[in-house]
Amino acid sequence: MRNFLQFIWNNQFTFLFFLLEFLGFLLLTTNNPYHKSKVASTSVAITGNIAEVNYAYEQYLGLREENLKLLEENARLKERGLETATQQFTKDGRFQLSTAQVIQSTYKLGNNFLIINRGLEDGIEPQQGVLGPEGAVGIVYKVSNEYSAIMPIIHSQSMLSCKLGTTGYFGILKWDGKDERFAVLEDIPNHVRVAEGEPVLTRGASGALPANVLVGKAVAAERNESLGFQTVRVQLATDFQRIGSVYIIQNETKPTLDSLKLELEGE
Amino acid sequence: MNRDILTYVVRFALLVLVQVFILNNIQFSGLINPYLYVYFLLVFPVDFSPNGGLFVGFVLGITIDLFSQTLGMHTIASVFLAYARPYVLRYMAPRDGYEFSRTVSIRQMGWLWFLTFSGIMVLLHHFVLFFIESFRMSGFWFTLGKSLGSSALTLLLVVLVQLLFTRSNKTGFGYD
Repeated sequence: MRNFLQFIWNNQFTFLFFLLEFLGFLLLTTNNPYHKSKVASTSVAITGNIAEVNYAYEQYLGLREENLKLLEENARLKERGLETATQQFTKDGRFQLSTAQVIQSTYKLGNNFLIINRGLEDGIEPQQGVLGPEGAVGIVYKVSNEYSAIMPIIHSQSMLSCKLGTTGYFGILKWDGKDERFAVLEDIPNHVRVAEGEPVLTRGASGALPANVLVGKAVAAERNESLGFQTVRVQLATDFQRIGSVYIIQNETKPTLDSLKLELEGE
Repeated sequence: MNRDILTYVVRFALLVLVQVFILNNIQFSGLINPYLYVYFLLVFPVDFSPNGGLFVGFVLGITIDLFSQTLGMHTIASVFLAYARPYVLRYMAPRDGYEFSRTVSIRQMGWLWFLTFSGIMVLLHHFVLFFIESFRMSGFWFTLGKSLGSSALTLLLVVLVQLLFTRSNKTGFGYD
């Protein structure tokens, strides 16, 4: 404090100057309408800018939390939507959805994979279905305590039972390993007319994915006269180049479906 | 000393009156307006205390403001001029420094010195005044031109006053 007063005393000329100029500005901005309005508009602009920056910053800080909330809400809504959409798949089918973040993924390899940040501890098991916001993604195939690996549609071993949205003819969706945006639907009879842009949906045959989940849309069909079946080129709904959050589907009735299938095979 | 004070009081009153009643009412093409009252600060004693000079500037400015309904503008410009004054004087000090209780005048300091000093001071004052008056940065060149034109006119009047009211003899009541 002493030093501060000493500082003021040593620079009294400058401080007196600022004091008198301050008085001058006070007089100026309180008595002249033009200067008054100018100061008012400037201060409004400044405080407005500060408030805006502050707001943007706070929003940015809250983004993570906000995202999680939205993901959870999405999961709840999807669960509700899936329940109604899969009524015909199984009457008392109960699909539980949980959210997960893709922490690593590939799309250029022949056998691509996704790693998600959920594992055994979160109730993830192999053969559970994985959905993205746009459509089907793949199947869980390896699980560790905290992480799981997903076999996406764009994997050479991936086989997904799918059907054509308008006619209901079904086949197996495979990936030819060429382009991560396209897959091929095989075993569609030659006589079926495939419309361009026709949706391709899951059939829900394995119980991993519910039925009638969008997989992609048909873009072209190629008839094979000798076999009597055509292959349909499908543009995938999920963009594997920028896949972020996914839903893991836990089907409580899957074990009973599997055991029934085993029984059939045994006969 | 008392006589000196009386001199300054009368000079102050006369300059304010001339400024308010005559010069404020003649505007050349509405743009250029001389502010002769700065003359008071120009010819203030060289060795006057800088702090006191600030107060003198404040009083001079606010007086002009009160008479011309521009409260604040001339106050700011005059205080600024009083603040700059010691620095300009130091910058222009003769080699041997100023003689004790010297005043600023053509007779004592010479034409070149007086014109340079007055030019710098008037320009500083007018820049501040006109920019405070416009109070924005758009129209910068217009404001600059206005202050330059007005500065030239003010400087002309300052020289005229010097020539008219400076007596050759050092004694007696006068405006030197």
